[in-house]
Amino acid sequence: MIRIQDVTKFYDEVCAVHHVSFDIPDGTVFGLVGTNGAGKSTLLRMMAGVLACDSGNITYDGISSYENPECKREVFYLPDTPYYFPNANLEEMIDFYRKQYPAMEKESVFYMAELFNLDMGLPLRTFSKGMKRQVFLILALCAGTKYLLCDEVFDGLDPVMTEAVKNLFRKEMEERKLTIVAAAHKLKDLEDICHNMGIMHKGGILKSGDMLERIGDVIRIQCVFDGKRDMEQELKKELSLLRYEREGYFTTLIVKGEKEEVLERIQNLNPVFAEELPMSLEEIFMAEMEEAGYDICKVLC
Amino acid sequence: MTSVKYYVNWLKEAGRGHVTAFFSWAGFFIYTLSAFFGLQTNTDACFFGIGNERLLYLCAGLGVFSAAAEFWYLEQPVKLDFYYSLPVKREVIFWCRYVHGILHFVPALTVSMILSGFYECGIDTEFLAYADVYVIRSIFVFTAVFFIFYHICVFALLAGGRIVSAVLFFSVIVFFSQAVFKGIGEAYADHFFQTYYRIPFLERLKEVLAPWLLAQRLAGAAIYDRREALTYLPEQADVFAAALWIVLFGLFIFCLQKRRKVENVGKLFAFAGVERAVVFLFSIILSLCLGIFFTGSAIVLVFLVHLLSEGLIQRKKEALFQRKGQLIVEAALVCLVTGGFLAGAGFFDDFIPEKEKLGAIRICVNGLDMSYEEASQNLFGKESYGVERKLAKYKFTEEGLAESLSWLASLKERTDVKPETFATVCYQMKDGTEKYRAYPVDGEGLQAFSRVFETGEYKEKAYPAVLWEDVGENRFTWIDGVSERALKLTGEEKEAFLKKYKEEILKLKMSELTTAAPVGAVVMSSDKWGEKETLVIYPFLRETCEFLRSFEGVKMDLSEYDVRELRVIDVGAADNALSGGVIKETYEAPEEILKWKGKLVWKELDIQSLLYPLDYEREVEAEAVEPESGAVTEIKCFPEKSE
Repeated sequence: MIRIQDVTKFYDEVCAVHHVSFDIPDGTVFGLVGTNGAGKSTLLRMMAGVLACDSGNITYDGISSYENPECKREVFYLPDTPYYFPNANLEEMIDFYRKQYPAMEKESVFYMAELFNLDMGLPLRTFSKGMKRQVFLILALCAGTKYLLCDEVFDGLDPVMTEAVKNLFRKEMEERKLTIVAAAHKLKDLEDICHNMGIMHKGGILKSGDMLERIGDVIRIQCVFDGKRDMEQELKKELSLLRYEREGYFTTLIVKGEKEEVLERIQNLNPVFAEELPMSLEEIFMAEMEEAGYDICKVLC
Repeated sequence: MTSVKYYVNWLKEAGRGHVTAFFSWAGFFIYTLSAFFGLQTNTDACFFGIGNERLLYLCAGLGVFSAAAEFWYLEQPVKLDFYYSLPVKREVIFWCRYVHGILHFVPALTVSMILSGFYECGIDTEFLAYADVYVIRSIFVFTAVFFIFYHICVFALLAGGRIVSAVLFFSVIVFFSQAVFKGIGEAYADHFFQTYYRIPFLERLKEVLAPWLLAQRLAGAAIYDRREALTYLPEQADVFAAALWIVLFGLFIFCLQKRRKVENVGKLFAFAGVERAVVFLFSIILSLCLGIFFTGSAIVLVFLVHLLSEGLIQRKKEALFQRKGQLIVEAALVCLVTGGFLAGAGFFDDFIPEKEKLGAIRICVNGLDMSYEEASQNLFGKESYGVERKLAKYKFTEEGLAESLSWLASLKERTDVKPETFATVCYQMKDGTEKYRAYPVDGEGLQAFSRVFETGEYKEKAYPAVLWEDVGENRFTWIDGVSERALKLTGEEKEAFLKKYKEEILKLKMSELTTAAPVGAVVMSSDKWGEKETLVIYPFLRETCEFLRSFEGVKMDLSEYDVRELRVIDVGAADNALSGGVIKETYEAPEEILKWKGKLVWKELDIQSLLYPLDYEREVEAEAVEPESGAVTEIKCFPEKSE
């Protein structure tokens, strides 16, 4: 398990990461979302042991990773612009990484490279941005580490390739309980593979936790009330209303609480029609953030 | 074992770029080839190790280049992210690269020196006696040179957060002492001390604190003599200074590499301490530079310069003047330096050493036994080749020392001096230290110098021929600018001639030199020893002149030759409107030429420009017939001053 405890990082006077604490259970994908300068990359670099924490600590199964090669052997960090040796090809990079990560399987890399139709002999500098990203994702997945930290993980990948990589992630997680921490600008990129998520804003983490649990607690209901009267005030009195939207006859509510109880209370207001709708991860977050008093558009839009 | 494997793996990784290896080995390959060619041509003038300036450049250059190639990654955030995220300690990466840089230098240098040594042994048997020591010393010396520059460059890369600042730090470290000790130290001494000529301690400090000067001294870059090069051993102080540079910067590197933070890459300074040091040094140096002009306002200067340096370096303007303690230390240091120079001025200028502590004294009176051309190039209190040459020549340890000391004491007592010339003095103390001073000398002071001039010790230095003996087999040649005539003398005649000359020279009074210019010279040369000495002949050396006149062909005035033409070039005659103009007159008629009889002195015989000055505003070119060959010779003369 990755444990981040009260981590703070300053760049001179600027606080890049501010008292961030959360846990990432093994075998899950943790999404780190936020705008530019939110502190995602800084947090990932601290997790990778590149930067030292000014306060707090980051541990992998209870062991600090900073300047600890034994611990870092279980962590693979894939930055947004990965470095490769000048004129090196994939085979040379495999040889290099195998010395650092003894569990790396050369055959797996060959297999995946073939799968992605990548030429092993060509220098990496001749590859496109997306191809380079594929190369490093392959190396990261085949490194045999327990933890994988990816910054802007799907940046440069086309939708087909993004889906393929997501499938690879799922497969690796199933097979060897790989834990992935992925940072991205957009929530949509991550929502279908993330079990947990954190939104970073101005160095702080706004929310993190199990999405499935949260989905159980928050519901979206579409209803139609008689006439054109605005029911917002009445609904607020009855329910823990996170979001209220009205378009024509249709009123869409995002409500916190037990599904049966919420529906019963709505029924008490005599709607013409009331039905629960499925919620996306983004909607849950937006609702949560708005509830917490944040202008969510600044974070995610 | 894991750790060893770890290091070996990373050492291999450090060699991935091959840049250091390529340049080191290729550099030494080319150097060795050029050394072979040089040795084949001339073993006397070509040294492959100590004494070779090209090798010095190569080693210092490789020190800088290897450090830059190995540690460039310190300034590249992408590379740092890559390396530091790997399961390896960052110090392993650092030290592996450090060792890798050295690994490709030391073996390449060693191989080059050994091969060159074997080659020279093969073509020059004389070298065999020195080969082992010379090769080993060369390896040590040039390895030290490499390390000095390697460490400085690595330090600069660690201290700077950007390439530009690393380059700046490197330049500052390399040239700092020259700026401080040569620029500021000498400027202050020159400004505050009236008798300042040179302070050897400052010069020594500059040499050992300037890496390039130190490297030059270590490597014997100024050696041209083969035997000296082969037996050269750097001075202990230089070796100590080199070791200090290497160890000190090694320690800095050791400390900095542990504390360097990745997030500081991209900033001007990778450490706050380095920023402080830069502000501190910049403030002090600039304050001291300006302090010469505004001595009384040193503290205000420090205040302003500190503000300027902080403003230039610190990004946050609200942080200005937060380091009040540093500002106080800077002000105190500047006050200490300027105050120290002010307070020490009296002590410096009044210095006359006690005779018991004085080992020797060196004196150069500008213009005495010196041509006008040379004297006019020497300036009061300024170092020059002419003054240095005279100081080396006129060294007194006995009666000359006593008289010189008493003359200098009398000079110091004089007030309202209207200087006619100046004397540069070097007091060589018995403890090995040297103290240099320059004093203005007026007419009376110059006359008083006759006490020194008339000592036997002075005569020996000014007229070294008085020390010559057994000259029976030497050749004597008369020269006067027109002819060069070998004097046909028997061994006894030669001895007798020299005896007469010595007697007259030893009796010579300084006042006599004000009466006439030399009329010619006798060059005494020894075929056996290859030595040569010139005996200047003055007309008042009567017995010597009589002896020489007995030889047919010895003429003691230009007018005794058949002069065909005289061209008088007057550089000072043009009026203000024609400033820089030259008036040239040509005389061909015998009666016109006759007017110049006894008035022209061959330029080479203008050796007493102070005591017997000639008319230096005019130059006369004379065409005279050399009687023996009939050839027309052109000689350049100065006319005597008209009454």
